[in-house]
Amino acid sequence: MLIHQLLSPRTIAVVGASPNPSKIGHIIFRHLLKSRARVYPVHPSATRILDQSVWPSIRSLPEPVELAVLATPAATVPELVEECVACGVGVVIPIAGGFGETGPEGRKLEARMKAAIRGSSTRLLGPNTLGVINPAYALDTFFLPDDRLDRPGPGSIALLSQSGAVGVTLVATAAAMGAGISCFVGLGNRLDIGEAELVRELARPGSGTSVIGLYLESFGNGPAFVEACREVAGETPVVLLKAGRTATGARAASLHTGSMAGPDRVVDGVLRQYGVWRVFDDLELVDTCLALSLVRRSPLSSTRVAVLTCAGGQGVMLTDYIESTTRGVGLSMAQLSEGTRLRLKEIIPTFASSANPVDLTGEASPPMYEAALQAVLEDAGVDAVLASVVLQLPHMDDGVLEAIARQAARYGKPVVAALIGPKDTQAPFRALVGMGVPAYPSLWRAVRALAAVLRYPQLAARARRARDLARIGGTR
Amino acid sequence: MSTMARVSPVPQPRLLMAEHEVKAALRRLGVQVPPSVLLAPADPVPSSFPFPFPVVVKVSSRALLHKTEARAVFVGVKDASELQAVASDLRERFAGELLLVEPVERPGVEAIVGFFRDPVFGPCAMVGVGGVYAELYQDVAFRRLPVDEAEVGAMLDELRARALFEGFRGRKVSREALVRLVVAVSRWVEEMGREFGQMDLNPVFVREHDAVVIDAKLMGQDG
Repeated sequence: MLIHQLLSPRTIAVVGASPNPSKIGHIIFRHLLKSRARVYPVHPSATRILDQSVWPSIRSLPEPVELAVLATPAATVPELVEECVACGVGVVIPIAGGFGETGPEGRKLEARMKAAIRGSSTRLLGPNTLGVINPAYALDTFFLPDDRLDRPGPGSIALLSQSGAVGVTLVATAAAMGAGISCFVGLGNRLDIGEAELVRELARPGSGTSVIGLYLESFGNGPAFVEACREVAGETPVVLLKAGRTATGARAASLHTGSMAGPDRVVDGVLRQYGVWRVFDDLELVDTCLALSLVRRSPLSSTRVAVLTCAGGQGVMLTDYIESTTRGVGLSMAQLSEGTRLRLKEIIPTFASSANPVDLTGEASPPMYEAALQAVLEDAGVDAVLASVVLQLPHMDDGVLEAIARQAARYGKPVVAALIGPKDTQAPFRALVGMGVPAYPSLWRAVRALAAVLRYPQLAARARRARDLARIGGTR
Repeated sequence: MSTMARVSPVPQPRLLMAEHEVKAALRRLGVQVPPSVLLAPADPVPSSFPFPFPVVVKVSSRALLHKTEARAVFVGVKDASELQAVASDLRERFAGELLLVEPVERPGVEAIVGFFRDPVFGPCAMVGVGGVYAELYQDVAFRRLPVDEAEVGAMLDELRARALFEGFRGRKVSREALVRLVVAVSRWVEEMGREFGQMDLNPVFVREHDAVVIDAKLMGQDG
């Protein structure tokens, strides 16, 4: 119900819609006109905006709306929320800042809004939020013009962000990589709707979300959030970027335990315990979500990686990243069988290396790459492949992208691609991602994403186990 | 006149139990602690115990948070006459307090086991490398309560020095005994409810067949 009204409402009111194209109320209304909802602009005096009839108030609308976006200043918001509650609006999204984040005056406004929704059926997202994006429904409440910020296409990644600016980064990164999203939700000040409830709602079967990525600076309700994650993480991975790691909490440090229990170390342990995959920067958040949304995750106990490259240097670096436990992910390099190596010798130039990392050299071409990829995927000692391509080589072309996707789809073994330095910085990634293979513009990002794919099943199994235990023991 | 009078008192962390009381409670949980004899202020100092010399003598008091710093612990007291001297010194400096006499335990791998109240997640557990260097290495793992044996095992797997608890260089260590100890004490922490503040079991000697709590401190909630 909440998710439906928030992300695919049949009717929307834009309060503060403006005829002035530079006003956020105008931009939001213009974006929302493209959605599949019926959209009503609300403005006290304007008569036509973008050729649409304008309504003077929420009360005057011809039908109760499921979603109301408030594009008006903070001071006007409490009264509008009260009006929304009186009119039975489903979800209200006040976009403005200037609330609890600014001080006591802002907190007073929030208290009034909280009192207004208490006991009603009206829910509130934010305030101080960009709102939501649902590409499949063409729903978009961002006030950043769509010619300035690319939006991601439809997909199965749900992105949630406590911060607006970080949210914009996540959306832009996903769009640039061709990572499709089921939704973006800006949490803002979390007066009502919080991350714990959304995690549970988004993980429901049929919601169209296969992985949930969050940026948080604090937990609205820590226990409720981690318990929600434990509930869903067995089936729907939860990836978290938790910032504010060095904030020192006021904590009694009189015993050893108290002095060692730094807030972030506790967070780290608890996230592991509840099946949450923790990441440490915004790129890693999107990269990990992309990989987990695309690649079939099989519960492998061994994680032997074969590396395919067109350059010796890349093979050396990839091996470091894969094997090192201090500056890498600590996976192991596969030992290719004698049979595979003989097969590879038939495929690759005589001076190339048939041992892992397999180096196709600058002679590499799409057919050579495809045959070599097939050979390593068929090796029983290989659990996953890191496929690195130099698209600039003379015999190379975009056909290699289809070749990688074709072979990746055949064997059910995870394949993650690194495309290093192509002239077109978006098209090849979007193409390969569109064919179901996560692709990254950096060796390290590709290795990190592959590690998440290979390690996540263990975390999921622990989350399932913990969930079953909690169910047997009753809710705590 | 006195400037002292105007200074508001800093809330002192408060021990919920003296060491011998914590250890008695641990013993009731099935957690291993050293055998001991408790001497009241007026009790004569015995010349022998149900365990052999050398012994450890310490002041066991709710008023004493940092025993070592206060020179309220003597380790390796080798015979009855040395014990007499140590006891009269302690009784002079800590009048009216109880003395706890224990044998010097066979050493093991030193672990620290702790519990505390996290402001976000509530009661949590900590386990890791213990002893006097615990705070130097900070090699510990954290979880929210409740924890079971598998979860405590996962905590030990996270330690940089996890090999220590798997029998590093042929040293025999009962990882299972440590795991059982953490789970048992965690249940007690949960039962204590709001009274509980923080607990240190440090060191815990993890040996071939058992894990024994050498020192234990239990604090109530601050404020």
